Amino acid sequence: MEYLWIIPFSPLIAFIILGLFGYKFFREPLAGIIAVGAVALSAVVSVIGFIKVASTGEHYVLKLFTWMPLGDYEISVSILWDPLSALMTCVVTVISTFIFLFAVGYMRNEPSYPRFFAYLSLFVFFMLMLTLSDNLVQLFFGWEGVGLASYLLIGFYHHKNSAADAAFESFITNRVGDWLFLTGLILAFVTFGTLDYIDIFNQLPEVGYWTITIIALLLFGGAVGKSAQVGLHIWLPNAMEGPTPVSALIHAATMVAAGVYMVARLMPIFSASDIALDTVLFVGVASAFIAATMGLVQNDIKRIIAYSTMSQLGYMFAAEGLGLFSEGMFHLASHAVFKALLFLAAGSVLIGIHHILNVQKMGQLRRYMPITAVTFLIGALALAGIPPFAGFFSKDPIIEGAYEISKLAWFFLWFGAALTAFYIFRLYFLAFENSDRLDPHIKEHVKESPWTMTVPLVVLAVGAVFLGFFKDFFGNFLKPSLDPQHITFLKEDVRIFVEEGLSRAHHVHMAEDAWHFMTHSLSSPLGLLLLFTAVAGIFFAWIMYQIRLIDPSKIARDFKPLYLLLYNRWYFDFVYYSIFVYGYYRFSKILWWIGDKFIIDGIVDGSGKVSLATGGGVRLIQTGRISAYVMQMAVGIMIFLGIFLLFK
Amino acid sequence: MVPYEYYVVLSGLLMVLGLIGIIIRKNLIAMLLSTELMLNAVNIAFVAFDMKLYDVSGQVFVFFILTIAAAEAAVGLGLIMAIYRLRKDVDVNTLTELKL
Repeated sequence: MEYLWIIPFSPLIAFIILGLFGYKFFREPLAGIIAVGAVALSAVVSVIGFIKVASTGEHYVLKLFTWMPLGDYEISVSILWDPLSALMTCVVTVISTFIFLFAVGYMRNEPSYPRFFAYLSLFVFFMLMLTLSDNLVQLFFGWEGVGLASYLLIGFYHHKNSAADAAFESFITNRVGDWLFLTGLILAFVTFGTLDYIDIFNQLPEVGYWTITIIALLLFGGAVGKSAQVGLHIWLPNAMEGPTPVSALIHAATMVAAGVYMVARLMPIFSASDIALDTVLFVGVASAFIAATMGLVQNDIKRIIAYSTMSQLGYMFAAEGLGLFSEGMFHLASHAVFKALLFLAAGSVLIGIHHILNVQKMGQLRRYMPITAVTFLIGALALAGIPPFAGFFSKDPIIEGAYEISKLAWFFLWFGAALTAFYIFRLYFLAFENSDRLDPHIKEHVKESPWTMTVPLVVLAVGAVFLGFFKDFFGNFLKPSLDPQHITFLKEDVRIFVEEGLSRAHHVHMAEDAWHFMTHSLSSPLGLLLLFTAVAGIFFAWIMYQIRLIDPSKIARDFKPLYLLLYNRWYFDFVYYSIFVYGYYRFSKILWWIGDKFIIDGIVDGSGKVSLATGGGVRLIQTGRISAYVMQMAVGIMIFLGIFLLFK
Repeated sequence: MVPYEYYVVLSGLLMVLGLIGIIIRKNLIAMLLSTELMLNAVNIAFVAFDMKLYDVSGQVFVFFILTIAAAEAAVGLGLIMAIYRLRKDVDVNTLTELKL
């Protein structure tokens, strides 16, 4: 398995080559070709490794080199290759390959072409360091690294103020989460004396319940920031300032899933504490629901999809909080496919209509861009959870599982699913169907995108159609990583311990086979209810935005407070800005007045003024007259003699 | 025999006179004279204490001081002559080059 080292380092080499020589030797399209080649190599190697691990179900730990010693523990750069990391690595590399290919076409005629691909390669390197890591420090290294790459790529158009601000916002918001993560990491090191996952897991039963709970919650704080869950989500919609391939790669398919992956990776830690699992569940449920409501009323095509990403990540966390880790990971994989598809289709639309983001100004695009429209429709059906698309097989088990475990969580997830179907089809009808609202000047130039952009769309669309049927394959494949009974790297007592932690999910029984699941789901009342809600969401979108039987603006007027609440994104941004941005600004201003102006300037200026004043005073006695000096000398002698005589 | 305290008092008086002379006189030559007065006050004090302590090193000192005083008078008068040639004046009130 030594060849696995190629996976992370191939994009790194591409980054170094493009970063050093990109502008000089590798202009368009050579830079893109190098980047695509490097990531495609990673993808091929990881698929080979995936097949290997799928056939054996083993796990491999490769210690590449020691990074730094930390007391008795040596932090190493290493690869833990087990089904979970193999799946995540394959998702990252394969999706990246298609998005890179798409970006070759999308970024055409961009002056900073090599820089873009250098950053993208850097991002993939960090992401792979994160997924392949076998210890928390390397995970954190990748975790920070993807934050950096995300910052660089959101601010890619750094001459635009909004892009620079969005990059800052994402970086700072992530920093809050990363700080929690780092605290958790340090606490874990203090508690366990090691940071290798497997060693930590095997020590779990010896550690107190509350210690594990605090570690798990702190680590989850990092996931909340990275995966844009409620509380630290405000950066994700604004991150859409970056180029669309970046939104597709980082803010839909891979980086934001890092939090979900991390929770699944540390599944034994989380399962050891039911408080941590409940937190994961309810943060996920809240995000799934709130993001779906915010997505209802937005008009920016990329932001609608961004809210949908946040909402779907909420479903993944909810699945993990319910103890259905492999369902969560399966949803992650299928979401990566169809969300990348939706974003790339949106990118294709934006190229076609010259970067108009407002969906109210589109319409009838299907006529000009048939491939884009059809692939987008497939992505939308998958997102809405219509059988037999991938989203149905990955999302329905989560909602049905929630019904068995927590009715409250189920209700919000179910309602969120209805909203999901509604907002994505609102977007579809407004952009691709409905009346013709395009600017006539633009309409003359609208045409289907070139093959580098449509091929990834078609491939991803095929994936979105057929991926769901591999449900049982994924379920069985992930068992050696996520099913306590099958995890080979845990000791017997730890397996029992983890098994007990996941007891909440024990009575959930779902058909693993895709066909059985589908037939069972479509014949049980719960499954039919879910299908009916999804169809109802689409139907309402059709009524309101296609045939215009109900006027959406009238509804907005009738429910004005609700509409304003949703339109202003539940006032999260408003509150955060008034507290943290402007509040901090005011606080700094006060500190500036007190600390800088008054104390520091007071000391500095004051010492200068004192010198000046004393100098000015003492200057007067320097007359230049000898007799005056002699007088002063005589007086001085007398004073000192007097003191001498008095105190002798 | 005159008690040595008388000599010390005389010495102190001469010293103070010399000091006052330096401070209040405007003429450089008068100031030089006052310096001589102070030197001689010290001489008297030396001799007086010498008499009290039955020691000769004080009297040896007096000879040194006389020599130095002669040299000082020569240099001082030379400087005064130089200043006079430069400024046609030996009034210290106008001689304020020490002040910037």
